[in-house]
Amino acid sequence: MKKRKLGQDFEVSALSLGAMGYGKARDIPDRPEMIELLRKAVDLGMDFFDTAEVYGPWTNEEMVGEAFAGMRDKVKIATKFGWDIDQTTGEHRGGVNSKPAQIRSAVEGSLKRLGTDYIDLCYQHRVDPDVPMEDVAGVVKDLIAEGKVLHFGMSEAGAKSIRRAHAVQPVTALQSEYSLWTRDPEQEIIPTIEELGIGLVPFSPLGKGFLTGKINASTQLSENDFRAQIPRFSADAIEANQALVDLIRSVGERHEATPAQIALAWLLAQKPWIVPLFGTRKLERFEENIGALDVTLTAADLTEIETAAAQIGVKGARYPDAILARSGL
Amino acid sequence: MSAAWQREEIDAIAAADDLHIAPFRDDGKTYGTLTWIWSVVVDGDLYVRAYNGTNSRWHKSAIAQKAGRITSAGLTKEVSFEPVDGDINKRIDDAYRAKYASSQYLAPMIGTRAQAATIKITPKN
Repeated sequence: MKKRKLGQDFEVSALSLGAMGYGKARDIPDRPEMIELLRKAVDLGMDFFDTAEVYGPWTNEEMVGEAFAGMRDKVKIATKFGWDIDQTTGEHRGGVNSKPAQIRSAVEGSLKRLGTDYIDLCYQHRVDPDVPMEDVAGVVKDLIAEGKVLHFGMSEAGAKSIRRAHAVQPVTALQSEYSLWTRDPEQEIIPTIEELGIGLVPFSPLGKGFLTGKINASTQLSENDFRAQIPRFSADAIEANQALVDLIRSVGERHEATPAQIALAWLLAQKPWIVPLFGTRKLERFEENIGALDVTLTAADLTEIETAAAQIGVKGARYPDAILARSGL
Repeated sequence: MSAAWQREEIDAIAAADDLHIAPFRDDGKTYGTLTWIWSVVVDGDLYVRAYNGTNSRWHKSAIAQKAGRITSAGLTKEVSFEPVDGDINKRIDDAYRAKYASSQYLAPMIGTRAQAATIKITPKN
């Protein structure tokens, strides 16, 4: 698989697989199958994988650790600290917590759960407004000096926080939502990280499934599907936003590519230091998504997408307000 | 050997907008990527057009290989492809007008570029 570089020297496969969708609750459905899929991804050339302390909490990291036991040198594992997880019980108490002692405890726990003695990329999951960024970056700097963490990342952080952290400990990657229907980072974030030499790992590159074209106004999202709470997935928003799917469908038609492949190829074409992070529970979808690396959009394609997308206003917020309030700090 | 579509199959395909086409690649046996295209039915026959015209990669493969696979309305079918020319195109235009009346892709689908890349799809066996 093609490689890309994040930050100064963190080389990873040009696409990353996230395990979040395999279980945000403590019980992971189809756990053996998900472990098999993670291993298969390595066979197919991917080496960059993503989890977090809060997924579960804890059980998702344990699953990722089990999947890659015996092949640690073949993979690069990213995990995240920063939500307020009780370090004894593993309960998520709600809210964030990046106090230095919490970070240390979370990272030590991640190392155990992942069954490793180093974390390739350790992100702060969300900025904690009660802890100065310099303190957070300082703890991570110490963890890097101790060899427990190799690279520092942030997620959904605002430009000021990124600059403050980067001044203490260089940030290798920012993980934030970015896709054809979430282009907010283009305003301030992308110019900032480009200036600082920080890579971008866009999550939800397929718009939580919407950009695959498999969701339409008649799609019924089940009550326990998180997307049912997202304004952008209300029935009228889905109908209005279908124009964006039509756009990538028409470009895909030219390239013999699926909408998902065009959505990923578009991200890959934006900057050479972008490594989209997708999730899937199916090998077939995994293979479809990595097929995006064989799709090269021309300058004319990109102009066509840009022009058409500018005419399409995306309807509905990307998150419920309470979650959105944690971003951009 | 080509055959006619079963009535209930073609009715389901006519009502859906989810036709994906995968003509064989150059080796004549590997399927291409299932590509989502715009389809219509006229008198029980299935027609598709390439939005991007004869430059569309799937269209080139369909002309060269004459066979492949489609999926639509939950069906997966081995099929044959043949180019279409002549007066039937007017009726195909009408079918696009009816099926995609509210779509911004109607105009290009009945324009000369797509018209020149019209293909009839028939099931094998």
